[in-house]
Amino acid sequence: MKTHGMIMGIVVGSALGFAQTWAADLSGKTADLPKRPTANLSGRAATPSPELVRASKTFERGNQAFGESRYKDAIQSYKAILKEDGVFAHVLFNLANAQYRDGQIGEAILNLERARVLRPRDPDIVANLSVIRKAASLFPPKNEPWFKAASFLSWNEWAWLACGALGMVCFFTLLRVMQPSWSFAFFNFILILVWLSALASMAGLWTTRHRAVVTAKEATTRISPFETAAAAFPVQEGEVVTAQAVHENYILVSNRLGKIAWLPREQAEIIISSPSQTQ
Amino acid sequence: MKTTHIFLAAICLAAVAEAQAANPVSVHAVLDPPQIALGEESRLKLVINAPSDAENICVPRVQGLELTYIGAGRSSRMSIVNGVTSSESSFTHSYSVTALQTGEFTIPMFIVRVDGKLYQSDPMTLRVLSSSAQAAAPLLSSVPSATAPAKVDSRLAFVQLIIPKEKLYVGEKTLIQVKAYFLAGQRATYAPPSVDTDAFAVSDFNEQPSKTQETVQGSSYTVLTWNSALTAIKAGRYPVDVKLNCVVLLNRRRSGLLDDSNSLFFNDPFFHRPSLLSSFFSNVEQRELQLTSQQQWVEAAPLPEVGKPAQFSGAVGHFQIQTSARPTQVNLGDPVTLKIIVQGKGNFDRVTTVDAISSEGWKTYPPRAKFSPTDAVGYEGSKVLEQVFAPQKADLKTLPQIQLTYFDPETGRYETISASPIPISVTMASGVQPLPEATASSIAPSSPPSSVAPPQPEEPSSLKQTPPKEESRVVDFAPNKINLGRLEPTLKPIAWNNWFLAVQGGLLLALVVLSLAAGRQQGRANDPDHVRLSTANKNIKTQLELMAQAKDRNDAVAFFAAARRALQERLGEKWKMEPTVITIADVNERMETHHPTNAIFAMADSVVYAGKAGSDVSLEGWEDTVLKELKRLENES
Repeated sequence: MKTHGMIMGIVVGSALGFAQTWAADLSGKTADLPKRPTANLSGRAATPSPELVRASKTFERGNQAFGESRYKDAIQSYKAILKEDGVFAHVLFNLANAQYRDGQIGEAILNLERARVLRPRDPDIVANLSVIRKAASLFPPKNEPWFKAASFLSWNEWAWLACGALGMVCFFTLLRVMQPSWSFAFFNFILILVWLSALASMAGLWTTRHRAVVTAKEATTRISPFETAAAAFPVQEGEVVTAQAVHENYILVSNRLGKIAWLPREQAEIIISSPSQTQ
Repeated sequence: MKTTHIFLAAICLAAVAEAQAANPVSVHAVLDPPQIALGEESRLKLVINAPSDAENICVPRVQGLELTYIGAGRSSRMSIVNGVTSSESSFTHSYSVTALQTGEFTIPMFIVRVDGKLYQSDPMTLRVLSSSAQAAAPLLSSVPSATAPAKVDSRLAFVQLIIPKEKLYVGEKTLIQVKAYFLAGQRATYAPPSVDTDAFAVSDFNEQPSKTQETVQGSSYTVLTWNSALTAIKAGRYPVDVKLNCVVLLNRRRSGLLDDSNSLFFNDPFFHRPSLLSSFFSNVEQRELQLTSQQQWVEAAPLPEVGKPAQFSGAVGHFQIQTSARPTQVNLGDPVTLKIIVQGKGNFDRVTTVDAISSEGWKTYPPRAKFSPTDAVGYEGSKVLEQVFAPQKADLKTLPQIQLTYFDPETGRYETISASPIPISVTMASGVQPLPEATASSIAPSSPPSSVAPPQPEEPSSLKQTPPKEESRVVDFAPNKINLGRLEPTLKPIAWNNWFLAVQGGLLLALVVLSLAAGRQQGRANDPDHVRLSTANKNIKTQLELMAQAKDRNDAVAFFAAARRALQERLGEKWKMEPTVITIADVNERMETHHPTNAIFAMADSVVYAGKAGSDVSLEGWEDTVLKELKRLENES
C-alpha cells in the first residue's frame, strides 16, 4: 500500500505540474529565458544559449522600432528572429501588430493565426485577430462547435497529453503485472478516455491543416489554373481559405461558402508551414 | 389431286416468267414541284420499273443544287386478265433537292444498273425563285427593324437574334434576345444558343428559355426565348450571329411533313442525314439541325477621351447612389462602416469601388461589394459596397463624401454623382491620448486605427505589459508582447512527425503486451495449485532459515521442528492437504518405511516429543538429508 500511495503521489504531482504550466500559459507569464536564467538540476544557474541572447536583443530592437512607429524596421527585426532563431509565439504576435500598422492586413492575420496555433488560449492573440477582422470586414473562418473544443489546447499540447495518458496506462499496467493484487482500473479508464479525447481533437485539427490566408491585396481566383482563365469569385486580403490541390503555380482553394477556384500560389500562405521559409 | 396442283403451279410460274420477260426495265425521274423558292425543297423520285432493284445508281451533280438521299420504297402489282398473268415491280428512290441560289437548273439523267445492264432517266429542269423576302414579310413586321430573322423560309425551325441597338459604346451593356422557332407539334431537344463573336462579351444562356406560341405565315410555332446581355469590348463594326444546335423528332404519319416536300426546307448540311432512328421506325425521323441566325452588324464606338474624368473606372450605364453609415457616434480609431448602394442599369462588374472626395483624417479600407441583380442577366440591379473608415482625428464632423463616375451612353457624356456627406461625431475615449497631428498625418496612409498601443520595452520583464482596464475595454486591441516567450522548434506540430506515430504505436504495443502479462498473472493468482505451491515455497524458505539458525545454535528441538514443518509444507503441497495435519502415520501410509522422510519425521518426533538428547545428533548431517529430501520431493512429479 505504501508503494501504491507513492505512485499516486507521482501521478498527482505530474498532473499538478502540467496544470501549473497551463496556468502560466493562460496568464502569459512564461519564463523570459534570456533575462531570467533558470536553475538546472545541479542547482547552478543555466546560461542562456547565444541564439536566445541574440534573439532577445533583436526582439528588443524590433519593439523599439515599433514604439518609434518604424513599422517596417520592426517587421524586419521580427522576421529575422523567425528566420534565424526559431519560432516564438510572441514574436509572431508582435510581427502581426507591426504588419497591421503597416497596412499588411493579410500578413497580419496570417501571423496571428500562426501564433494561435502555438498559443490557442492567449487572449491577446484572439482579441487582435477579432479586431483586425472586424476592421477589415472579414468573417472569421467557419468552425464547427467541436472545433472550438479541440482548439482549447494546441496541437502539441494534445500530442503530449496523448503520449502522457497512454504512457501512464502502460505504467499502471506494468505495476499490475508486478503486483496483481493492485488495481488501477479506474485510473486506466480515465486515462484511456483522455487519450481518446486527445486523438479525436488532433483528428479534428487535422482537417484544418490546409487552411491558408490570402496575403495579396488584390487576389484573383480563376476557374482554371491558368493566367488566361476567367475570373471566379472574389477573395479579400486576410480571408481564410482552404487549399485542396496544387497545380504548378496555382492552388485550388475553397472559401467559407464552399466555392472553389484556383488562386496563384504567391497570393496565399498556408497557416501551418514554416514561417522562416515563408517570411 | 396432288399431281393436278403441281401442274397448275408450274403453269403459273411459267406465266410470270413470260410476263416479266415481256415487261422491259424502265427508269424515269419525277421532280415535285418543278419550281420552288430559294430555301425551299423539292422532292425528286427516281422510279425503277424492274423485277429487282438497281444494283447501282449514279446520282448527277449540279452546281448550285444539293441532292440528298432520303430513302427507298418498293411496290409490286400482279394482274390476271383473261387468263393472262402480268406482274409489275417498281422501286422508288427519293432525294431531297435544295438550291443554293436562284435560277433554272437542269438535273441530268440518272444512270442505273439493273441486272448488269445500264438504264437512264430523262433530264429534268428545276426553277428556283427568290421569293423568300416576300414570304418573310409578315414575320419581319413583328420584330424590330434592326433585327432581320434569319432563314425565315426554314419552316420547320429557325432562329432569330434580336439586338435592340445598332450602336454601342465600348463597355456598354445591352439586353439581347434569342428566339428559336419550332413548328408546332414537333418534339425537339436543344442546346443553349451560342453567339459567335470576339468583339462582344455575351452573358451565358444558362437560364431556361421561356416558351410561347406564335403564328408565322399561317403556321403555328413553338417559340423558345432566351434573354442575355451583350457588352461591347472593342471598338469597330462587327457582325454578330447566333447558332443553335437542336434535334427535331418528326412524326411523318401525323404531320405528313416528309410527304409534303413544298412545305419543308432546311438549309443545313446535317438536315437530311438519315438517322438510325428513322431506319428502324419508318414513321419517326430524327433530324439534327444547326440553326444560324442572320448576321447583324453592330458598331461599337470608343468612349470619348474628351472630358473623361481621372477617376473613371469603366462603368457604363446609368446609376444612382445612396449612402448610410453605422455607427455615427464613435470614439477615435473606432471603425465606421459606410454602406453605399449603387442602383441602375449597366455593367455593374466595373462598379468595384467608389471614390472619397476627401478622406483626410480618415483611414480607409477596401470596400466589400455584393451585387444583387433584378434581372436574369445582371443588367439591372443594385450593388452594395461596404467600406470601413476609421477616424484618425477627433475634430472630424462628416464622413468622407462619396462619388461615382460613369459614362452614360444615352447622353454620351461622363457623369459624376455624389452622395450627401453624412455627419458623424468623433469623441475621444477616456484613457486614450490623442495622437499629435504630425504623427497622425504621417501614418495616415498605411496605419491602422491609432488604438494600437506602442510597446514599452523599458518595463521590467517580469511583468507582462497589460494595458489599463479602461483603455483595454475601449480600445480592444492588445499591445505588443515585451518578452520573447518560449521557443518552439518549428510551427509544425509534433504529431505530424513520424516519430510521434512510432511512439504511439510503441506504447500501444507495450500496452497490449503488458495487458496480456497482467491477464496471465491474474489467471495464475486464481489457480489454487499455483497458490498452494507459491505458499509452500514461501513457507519452506522460512523454515529452512529457522533450521539454519537452530543448527547454528545447536538447538536440535528447533532444528527438527523446522525440518519437519518444511517437509509438511512440501508434502501438503504434493498431497493437496493442510500441511500442519500431516503426521508420521500419514507418511508411513503413503511412503516406504525406509524412506528418508519417514526417518526425518521419526527423528523429529523423538527429539521434539520424546526429549531425545540433541547433542547426540549431528545436525550438519541431518540438514543435508532434509535439503536433499526437499529437493527430491520438489522434483517428484
